[in-house]
Amino acid sequence: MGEFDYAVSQKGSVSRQTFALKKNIGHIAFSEEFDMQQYYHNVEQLHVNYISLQNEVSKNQKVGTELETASSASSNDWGALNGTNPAVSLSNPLDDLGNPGDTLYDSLANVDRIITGTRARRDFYTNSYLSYLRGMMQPAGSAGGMVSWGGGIDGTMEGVGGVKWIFDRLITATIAIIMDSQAVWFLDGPKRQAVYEDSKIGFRGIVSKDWHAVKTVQSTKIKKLTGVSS
Amino acid sequence: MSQQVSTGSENPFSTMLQANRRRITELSDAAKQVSEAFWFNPQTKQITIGERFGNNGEMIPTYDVNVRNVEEMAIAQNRARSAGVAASNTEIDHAKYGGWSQEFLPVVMEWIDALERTHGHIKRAEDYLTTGSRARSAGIVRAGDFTNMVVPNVLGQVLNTIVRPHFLLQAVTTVPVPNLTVSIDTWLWNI
Repeated sequence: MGEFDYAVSQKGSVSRQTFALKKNIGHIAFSEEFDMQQYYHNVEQLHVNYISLQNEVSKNQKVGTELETASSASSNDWGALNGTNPAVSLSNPLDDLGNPGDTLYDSLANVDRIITGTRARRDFYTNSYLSYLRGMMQPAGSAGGMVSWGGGIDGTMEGVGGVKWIFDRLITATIAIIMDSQAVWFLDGPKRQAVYEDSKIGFRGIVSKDWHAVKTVQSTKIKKLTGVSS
Repeated sequence: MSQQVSTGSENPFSTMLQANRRRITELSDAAKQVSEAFWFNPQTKQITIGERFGNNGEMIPTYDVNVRNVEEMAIAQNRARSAGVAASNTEIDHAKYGGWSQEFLPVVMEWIDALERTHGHIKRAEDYLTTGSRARSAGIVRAGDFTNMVVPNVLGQVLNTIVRPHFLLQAVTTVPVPNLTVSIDTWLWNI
């Protein structure tokens, strides 16, 4: 500022988002006649376990659905090979992840998560640009220990630092999500469990309720890369 | 030409004259066959029973009932003998039972079984077959009996109860919320 210039005072602002949790219910009932039979297995326990486990699956599915609503950017196929030199991969996945990650960083994101399906993770790991990092000319898949089935978490992943790489079958196979874990919140609400009885009709029920919601609270801190695997 | 290889009685010719008492029957139970002689049929290589009487009272074989095919017997026995101690159970069985006709095979099997159980004592084997020392198969409780009272054996494990683990909850921030609604404030930093 020049001489005698002065600064006008300014004030900041705060925006507020409000979310309502939704009720999720598991409900089973057993007739009195059911209790008068003997079974070789604990049929009631099988049902209770199933409800409990399916509740966990349902929560994960909601997270997956919410993550995939993020704004998208197209990417190169990490599994594709170079057309003129098929011994190497077509593109460098670290560029595909690095550039949108830079944009997220500039939006105050602390990039700490990469989420893919299982196939995109295999394509990343066997990409020849990553092989150079390991000092190997062959894909890591042939070195063993990489291909296993099902989801999981890579605490450390070669080529990317400071992130947890989460891979899960619930995520679309062709995409990768790079994000700050604070971008999406799982709002874990109240829970109620009850056993009730209807003697007039003649059954007893077990009802389990779970209020929760998955919300993107900072949409500028998450990006979906499309076409990373085909 | 027929060849008589064995006789069923001490003196077949004394009974030969008693034509009415001689009978070749077609009884289904081979053990109840009554015959005066065994006849060898050189064309079929079969030992047979069955004869009739000619006008002069001579016995003429009719080869009605096959007893044992000598050729098959010899082949099976030679095979077992050449195998020696290495003979398989199948080869030994062929040697025991090879060539016996369908009518006689059940009787022979019973008889050989009785002989083996009595360690070769013929008298004891006869007792075994004819007296109460023989196990009565009709009295043995079998697996098929009392099926309506069977207690089924069910494995304690129930298959297909696995639910896959998922990890996406760890991709996001979990915030405990005690109420039905929650508000989140964001500082607008770029004033």
